[in-house]
Amino acid sequence: MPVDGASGAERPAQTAERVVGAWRLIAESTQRCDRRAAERAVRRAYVAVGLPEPGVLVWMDSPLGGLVADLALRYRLADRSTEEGELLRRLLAEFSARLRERPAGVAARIRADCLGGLRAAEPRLRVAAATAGERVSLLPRGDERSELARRTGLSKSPEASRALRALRFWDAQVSRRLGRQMRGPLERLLAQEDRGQLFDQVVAGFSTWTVAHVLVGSQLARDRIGTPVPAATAALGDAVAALGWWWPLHGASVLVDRPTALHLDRDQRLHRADGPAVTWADGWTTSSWHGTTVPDDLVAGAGWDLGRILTEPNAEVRRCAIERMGWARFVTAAGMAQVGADHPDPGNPGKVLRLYDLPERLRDLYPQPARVLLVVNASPDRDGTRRAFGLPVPADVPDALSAAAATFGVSAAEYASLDRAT
Amino acid sequence: MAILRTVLDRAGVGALGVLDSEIDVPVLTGAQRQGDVIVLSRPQLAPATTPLPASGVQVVRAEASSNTHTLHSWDGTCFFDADPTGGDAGLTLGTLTVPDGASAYLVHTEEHGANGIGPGTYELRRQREFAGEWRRVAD
Repeated sequence: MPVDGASGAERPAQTAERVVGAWRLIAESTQRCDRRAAERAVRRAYVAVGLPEPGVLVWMDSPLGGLVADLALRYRLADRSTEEGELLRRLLAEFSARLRERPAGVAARIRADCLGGLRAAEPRLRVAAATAGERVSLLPRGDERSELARRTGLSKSPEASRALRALRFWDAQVSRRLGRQMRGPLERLLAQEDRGQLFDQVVAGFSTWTVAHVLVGSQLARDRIGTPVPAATAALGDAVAALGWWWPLHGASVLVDRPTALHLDRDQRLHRADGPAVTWADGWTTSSWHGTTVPDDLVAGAGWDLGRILTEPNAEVRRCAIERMGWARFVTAAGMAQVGADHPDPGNPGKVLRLYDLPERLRDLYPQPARVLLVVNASPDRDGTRRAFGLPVPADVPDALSAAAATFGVSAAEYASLDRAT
Repeated sequence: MAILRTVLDRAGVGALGVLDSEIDVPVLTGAQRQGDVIVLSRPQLAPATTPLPASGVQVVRAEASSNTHTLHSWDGTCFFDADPTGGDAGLTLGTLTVPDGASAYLVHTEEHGANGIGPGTYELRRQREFAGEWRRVAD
């Protein structure tokens, strides 16, 4: 554990914030891992849960690399005559094809790192035990975790729980990006009902970001209610503090070094307006706009032009692109003329609904004539601002209220009857 | 009626940023909206029969953001029948029935806080937008 216990004089909230703060420093670190020390910590974490030390440790430079190496390692160790072996083979093949579509530098680096790592490990892979390559679980169970969080009163400290949520959120953002890379290969291979489970298996790697909240809970339990930190949890803590991401298997682990750059907004969400929010040493990146994963080109250079923005199918991503441009500028840039008067937003006191016509030159953006409804969230974001959204609606809606009602498929009268919006 | 912090604690969501967590969450029986989800009173619908699990149920799961809406029972067990077909307009998420004496909370994991829902039967709908044809709002 990287943080010492609290003195008895500290208030619980202070303890929580200090412990969370220490983990945040680790999670935000962009220093190269001390690989020797990390490997020792990883071996101890296996032993602490009663597993033999892993004979094979393969280092990669990004979570995408880690995911690919994990697949390759499992395929190398799998019984290829089984259904799982066959599935891994096909998945790996699809993935390799997908990697070839990546920017040459990134794909080549990942491929070279992966092949090099496996080649170096080959002598030990040849003598690996029959169980090698199966997934192992090193994390405390979910119910133990929530019990700890409850007993330590972690959720009562707004500062601490916000910081912890941010950590989990970062992880979710990178996982989501990995998920997108996976979706194609998975969809080509699997029936709908199998996808979720296999997906969970493939994206089973975890990071300092993912598990920091588990370890914080454990540490607070020790400091505040005298519960000893279980040896396995302590060993896990040491290992994840020394690593970026980690895919543990029986007899082997794929270890991923930390990112080389990490950018946050003042609410601690992954964010960078003029480039990727996170960069790894092999060139893999993830771009985020205030915590929403966005395509890299949205935050590169001049960003998206009007046409690209309006044809983006994902409303959150489109909003991010418009926010980068600025709503006021967008409405002007698009030459949008307001239709009718402002209409009070039902259930959202003080806010109005505004309907705009698309300018002549954007009339062909959609196959059918459309207008854009400008709405403002009923609740503030964490930074205190209210997000404004633009939603396309059919051009035959007569006014802003009807437009808002149409987005939910209800009558204007029913929409106007909203008691409360949040 | 419960205060927001209590609702969020039980939903396992943790404290929100700028929302005042000590405010009361009114329990209402009329129409309410939470971001891109709307709750509409539908007394004429057959009541839902699937009990809401203690851990709640996720009614919307976002793709790119952290936009997640979950339903939770309060003071009794509520019922929610998810509708994977989306109903006539393709927007229906499901039917919620809150028995007398109970309430339900719709909780958003990011900025929208919580909405309290009193006894009755309701339709939950997702927002849509129009891009030549109607489609669900993707986030």
